[in-house]
Amino acid sequence: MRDPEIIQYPGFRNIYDDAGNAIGFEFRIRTNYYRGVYLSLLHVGRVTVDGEEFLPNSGAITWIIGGKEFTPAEMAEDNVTHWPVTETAIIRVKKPGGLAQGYHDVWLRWGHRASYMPPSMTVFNDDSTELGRSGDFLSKRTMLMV
Amino acid sequence: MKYVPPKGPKRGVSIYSYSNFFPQGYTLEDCFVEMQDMGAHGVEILANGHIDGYPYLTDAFLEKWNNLCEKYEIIPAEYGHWVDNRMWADRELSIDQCVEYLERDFKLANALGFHCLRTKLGVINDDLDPVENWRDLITAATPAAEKYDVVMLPEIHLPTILKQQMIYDYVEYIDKTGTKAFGLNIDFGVFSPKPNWDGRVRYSTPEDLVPLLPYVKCCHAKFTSMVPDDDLLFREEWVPYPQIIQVMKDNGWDGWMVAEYEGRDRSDLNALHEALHKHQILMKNCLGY
Repeated sequence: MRDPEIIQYPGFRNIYDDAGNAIGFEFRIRTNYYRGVYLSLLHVGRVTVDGEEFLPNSGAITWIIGGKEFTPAEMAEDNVTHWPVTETAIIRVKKPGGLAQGYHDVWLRWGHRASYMPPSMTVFNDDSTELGRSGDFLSKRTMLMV
Repeated sequence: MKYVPPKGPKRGVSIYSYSNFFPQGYTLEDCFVEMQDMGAHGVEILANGHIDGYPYLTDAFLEKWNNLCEKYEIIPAEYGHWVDNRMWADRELSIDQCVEYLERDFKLANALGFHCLRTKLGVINDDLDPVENWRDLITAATPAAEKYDVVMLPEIHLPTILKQQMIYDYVEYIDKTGTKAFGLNIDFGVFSPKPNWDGRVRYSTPEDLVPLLPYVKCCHAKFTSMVPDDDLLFREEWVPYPQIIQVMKDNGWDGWMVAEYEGRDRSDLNALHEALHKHQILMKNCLGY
């Protein structure tokens, strides 16, 4: 059983190094697509928290799928690893100090490429704050960090 | 008593109808229970969505699959899969690479008891014209399809209709090659006069289906809106089910019509159950079984 929202409340937490310093935060998403995809079919966009942007090519973002951690560049090449619809993905974001206790607006821009859809309908625009036509998502959730 | 499918058009369900709920924890067994309730015995699964461990076959899934099919009297009707030719942002799969993915699906489908495959080809434009090299791709995949006894069926879906060049090209390819590895899946949305996503109104008549029926191996019984009707209890607001099914019966068509619900309210589980039940009553009334 999962949250019906794309961004899952369970899994929203800070992450720490061995010395106990918060080095970032992470959250989980379920897919909103009806089929699993090879990682190279995913569009990995930015994470925005309380207006602060973490860009996919900045080195701040990784995705954990099936227990393995991938950079966006690794995902873009990986046509072997499959993300099943029944499993969540963890989005991990490096941010020294992590997120403070309190409410945070978490946004994730992401999507997927679908060869069976017209190319004109499957354009991914990471800069956009609008929803795209197909396979181009902006998932949002406000969650309370403890 | 073991279920024996009758000859003729038969009722089934595509698990696609439930796809909003799989990422939230819904299971194949949840779907199979409802299918048995409704006497809808044929199932379409989406390979990339509903097979644990995809794209690999595990002993655990095979055992689960066989047990579920037996317990709920479910017959594997169609296996949905994709040719993801635009695999990377900057380049495409070669034909050989496509065939590697296809062969893995053929093998999986065969192991799970499927013969019909809804093979979704890559498209190149808003008219859903398939990749230009589709003939080469199908020809290259044919030996593997024959080895695993499967037939690849592109899905004919709006805005495509039954009388247009794409269909003539598919039929010509089948006639010329005499292949048993390629055919058609008709999505009943092609009979809907409802404006399409692009605002165009294009649709086929049930009679347009007649010359194509020998090539049609499975159908997507698309529905978006079930409305009350005095004579039939329920009808689909846009798709003329009684006429379509009559044409199929009159022409001796034998195969599965797997229900594909695309109503606006399909992310409401109660609305989905209601719609599925009404749609099965409609098809049952048309078929007499």
